Amino acid sequence: MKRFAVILAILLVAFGSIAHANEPIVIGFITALTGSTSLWGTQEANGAMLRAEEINAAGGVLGRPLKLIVYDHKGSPQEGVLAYRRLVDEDKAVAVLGTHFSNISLAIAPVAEQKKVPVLGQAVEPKVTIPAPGKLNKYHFLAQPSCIEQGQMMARFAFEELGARKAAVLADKSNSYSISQAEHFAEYFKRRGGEVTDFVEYAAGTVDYRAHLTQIKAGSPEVIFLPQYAQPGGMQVKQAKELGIEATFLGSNSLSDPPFVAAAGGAENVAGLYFLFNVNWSEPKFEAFINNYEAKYGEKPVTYHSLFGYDDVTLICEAIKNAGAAEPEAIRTAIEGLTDVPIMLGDGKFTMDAETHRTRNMPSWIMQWNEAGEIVPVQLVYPPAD
Amino acid sequence: MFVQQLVNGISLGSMYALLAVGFAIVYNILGIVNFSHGATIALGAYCAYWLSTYLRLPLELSMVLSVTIAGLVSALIERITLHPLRRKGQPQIFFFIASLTVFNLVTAIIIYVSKANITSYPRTLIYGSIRMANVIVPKLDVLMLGIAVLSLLALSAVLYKTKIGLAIRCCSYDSRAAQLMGINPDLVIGTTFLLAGLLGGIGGALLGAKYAVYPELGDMVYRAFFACMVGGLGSLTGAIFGGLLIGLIETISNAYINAAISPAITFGLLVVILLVRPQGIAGKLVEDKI
Repeated sequence: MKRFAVILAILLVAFGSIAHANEPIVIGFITALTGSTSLWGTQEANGAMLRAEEINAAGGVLGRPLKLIVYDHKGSPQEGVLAYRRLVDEDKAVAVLGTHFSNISLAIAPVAEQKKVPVLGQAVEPKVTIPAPGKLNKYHFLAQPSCIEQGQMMARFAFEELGARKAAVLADKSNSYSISQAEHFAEYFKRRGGEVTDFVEYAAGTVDYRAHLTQIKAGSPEVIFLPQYAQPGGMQVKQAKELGIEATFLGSNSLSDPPFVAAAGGAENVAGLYFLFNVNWSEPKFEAFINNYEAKYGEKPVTYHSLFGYDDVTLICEAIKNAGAAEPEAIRTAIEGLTDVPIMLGDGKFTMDAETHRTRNMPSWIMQWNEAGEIVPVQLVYPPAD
Repeated sequence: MFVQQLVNGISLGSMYALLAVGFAIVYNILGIVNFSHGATIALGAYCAYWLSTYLRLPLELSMVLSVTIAGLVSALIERITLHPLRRKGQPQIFFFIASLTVFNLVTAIIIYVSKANITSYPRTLIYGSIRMANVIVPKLDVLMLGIAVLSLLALSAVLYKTKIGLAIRCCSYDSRAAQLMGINPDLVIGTTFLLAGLLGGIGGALLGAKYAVYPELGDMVYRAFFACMVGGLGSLTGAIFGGLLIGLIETISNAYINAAISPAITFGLLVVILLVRPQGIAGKLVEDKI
């Protein structure tokens, strides 16, 4: 009888592990599938599903297939938290990907600390991983240069490459994407010896910027930094041109959106504007990605968010592989140790900084709008080490 | 620089004034706070955009047509919301709610149709600017000020030189007495909404040229409302004055105090003005109405 029990136990364990081997690894993905930012979110989800398919076709991870479950956060922090809980509690996800919205990621972060299932997202707000000085969210990771780095990279480009010594900044006080970049741009520019002639903050929903721009113009800056979304950014550039401001404009990655050019009153108004951008689509390495994406979805990728999704899946699979087990705690530790992982964005290599849970030394492209309304790559820039 | 800021303030304030007058005439005649004015502002911009972009009509023609559409839509809104409420003898608060609902409905439709994108007319209405010493005045601003003044002159011509204008003024004094004199209130109210819609349409079409075309453009109606309150609700001259004043306060506080708290300063000042003079700055003018 004893011998029978032992055999039964061995059989059960063996059977169990076979079942386990075929069971898919569940990865959650939270993004915007409806609402005003659904274009970005759909692109992101498409990129992620394309990558998951490629990985499964190549044998999966740890010999198990990957199962990607995508939920809609509808642009709302509450929905984002709900999606995270559902992924962890009901779907038994071992890791969650997303979001690229700072306010939604800020809401998910404390919940992830309780549930202890790691999140890898693309938000730019450093408070997502470091809520207070000296405090680190153990289960949250960000895979895009933070707004600190984005502001600094632009300031360094203006100071070193454009030779600018006088800069002005116009920022939305209520938007952390805008104000964080603005503050770190100004701080770095001054630290290098430049002068910030005006640091103007405005309230969200402003439409007429003539008062702000007239004030900026009086300080005659050589460059004006506009870390904005497409709508205010476009209006500001248009009104600045009407006021005869001839300084060079610098912007953030949202000024890559085509509606920005329309709001600015056409290509001639935005010509010469430099902005920071995550990807240079003209590089040959994207050809295969674009073709595969088109084959699967019937259209070419529209925004760089498709690469966010694609890279997120690459990174999480690498972490699971390194962890050797599809367990949340092991994956968390493995994400911390990710080093030189081949990805699509930046310079094609990804390293996680274990102390900040953000990217280490991830570069961005400086792009420029030309007279024909096209985006021209200028150079790849790295976050300053100082 | 101060002169330039003054020019900026007047340019912004003249837009508010134009929108405020359209808001004020409905209040003047009917005593109704009409937020559907915001819908006609947004339609004024979007119709000009749609006609010039998709039908490839010349921009000027598109703007004229869009103003007409805005006027007709305003009259239609009156017909399907205020008219039945009025016939049933419902209190005016119901129309206030209905007008706010119509405004939100039109905005929601525009967001759906335009996919919430910001855009602009296919070309700039007028290029260049006038430079006097250090002060730069965009030609567009001069043109817009001209159109605003002309529109207001045309409005007063309608009110003072035509029969329907006389009827409107009669109703604004005493609608019951006017009715007893054989004035058709439906016609008067319909015409008033048409006029208000035309002014909203002109404002919207010009705002589209000055700033950009985006779904929340109709929110300018709140500025129009505040301009009316400051100037004295119902007073047309007061509305113009209130519009200019708000434009100037906003610009000056943006420039010399702090742009991030400028809305707080503007609204704080409005509260003070209303506490000191609840009847509005042009309070006396309210008594003589038009």
